[in-house]
Amino acid sequence: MPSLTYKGRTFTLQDQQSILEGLENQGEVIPNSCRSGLCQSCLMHAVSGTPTSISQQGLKETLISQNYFLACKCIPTEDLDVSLPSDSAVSIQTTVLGKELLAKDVLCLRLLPQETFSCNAGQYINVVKDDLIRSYSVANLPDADGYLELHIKRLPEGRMSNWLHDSIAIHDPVTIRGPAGNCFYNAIHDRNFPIVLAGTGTGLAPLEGIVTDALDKGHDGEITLIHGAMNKSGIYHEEKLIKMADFHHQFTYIQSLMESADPANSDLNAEVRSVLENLDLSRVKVYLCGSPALVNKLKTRVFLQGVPSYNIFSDPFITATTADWDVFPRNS
Amino acid sequence: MKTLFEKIGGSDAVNTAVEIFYRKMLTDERVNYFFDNTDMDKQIAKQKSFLTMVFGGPNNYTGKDMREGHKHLVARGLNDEHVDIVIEHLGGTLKELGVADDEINQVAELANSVRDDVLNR
Ligand SMILES: Cc1cc2nc3c(=O)[nH]c(=O)nc-3n(C[C@H](O)[C@H](O)[C@H](O)COP(=O)(O)OP(=O)(O)OC[C@H]3O[C@@H](n4cnc5c(N)ncnc54)[C@H](O)[C@@H]3O)c2cc1C
Ligand code: FES
Repeated sequence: MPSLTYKGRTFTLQDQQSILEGLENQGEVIPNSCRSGLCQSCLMHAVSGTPTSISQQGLKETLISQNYFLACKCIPTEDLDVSLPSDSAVSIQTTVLGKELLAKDVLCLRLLPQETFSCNAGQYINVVKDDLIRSYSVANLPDADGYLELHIKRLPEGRMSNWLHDSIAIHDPVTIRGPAGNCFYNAIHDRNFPIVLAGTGTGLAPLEGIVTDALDKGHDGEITLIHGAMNKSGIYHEEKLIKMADFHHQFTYIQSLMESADPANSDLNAEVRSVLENLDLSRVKVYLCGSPALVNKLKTRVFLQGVPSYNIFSDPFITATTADWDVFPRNS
Repeated sequence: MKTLFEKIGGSDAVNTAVEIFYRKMLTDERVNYFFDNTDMDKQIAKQKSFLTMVFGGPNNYTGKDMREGHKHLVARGLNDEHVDIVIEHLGGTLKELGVADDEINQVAELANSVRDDVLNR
């Protein structure tokens, strides 16, 4: 078994054990959230030795070339000496530019980067608060606007979300990392393919960003955005999106409310299916964000309806306790 | 001699084949429950390496990975019958892509050769 060195101490990992698990077993605190390679909060640096390529999937080129890797995905094949990244190497400072409530539990947070920071609408950044690192998607066009807009849902006892909701104030410093993720508008050959976007809750953040980006770049294929929520209280930016749809003939905005009395309007899966039925399935690009269970299910359904997997983009918002979604149910 | 992987058009063809193959697996009720709660992107990546291997393309297949990767499925009842279904859909996929019968048989043979690893025997 390969050996691992951390803070000058060397130990041996167990068979098939990730570096994250190995270090936790040694009593070390390593930031993490999704534990499945999606949120990048467990970013570490190999001071010597080469991390596995699987543990570098999704990282920026500059990070890969400097031997950064994701501890939750790294089952090393050789001896490694690892450290947590220093803030100065991978993070940047921002200050809080604005804070407002969009819905009962949804905070809109605007962050002003203190240095050049480029990012696509729909990608995500990581907010760093000591050992706590959490991902939030970018809902605006940061390169044009000069700031980042995030939509943060307050989770019961959620450590980061409650801190952002309650404790930080205008002008406070906030450390971030990133960007990462490939859920963004990407038109290589033409701008007339159809786009369907569906999400629940703050899954709207990246989707709204992608729509804004596409319209800004003159996309002229049909764009349909479906925002799902339990009931009306989970809906936000309604007025803004209705206005956008009025202004841009190619853009349609639909709400899907699970508690709606109208059955035609209460099933997000059915809504997505019926929108797709009228589109060219070989060309449509589908974006799915929000609740992991829903995103996962929709992804499979959309694929089975005939959309090629390479045209389906998704960001399941995995939280620390939904991290198990990806593991096989051991006893079902 | 060219491998089937080269003949059918390399990794682009594998990408097309995976799309067809995975749809067949997901709509077949004899096997699709094994895919409940799996991440589709990860599955597709895994199946690409599997198809590349059985088409004779460049791969880093190891029996150990195959064993590790299927252990939890064997625990859930994965058996010879399911492997037969995989081979059946592999054949169906290649037929759709216009591959000749004796080449399909070669692929089936290669797929068969990893049966014991998959079933952890
Ligand atoms: C790619 C990506 C993009 C994302 N984008 C967004 C976004 O745009 N907007 C957004 O709002 N979120 C987004 N998320 C989710 C976000 O990153 C956080 O996971 C979320 O805000 C919760 O963090 P937290 O620290 O507040 O909660 P945590 O403290 O991590 O807790 C998460 C939940 O688990 C419960 N919990 C925690 N520990 C335990 C325990 N030991 N036992 C039982 N329950 C427990 C908490 O009560 C809480 O409900 C995204 C996630 C990913 C992976
Ligand atoms: S990427 Fe490792 S914990 Fe999320």
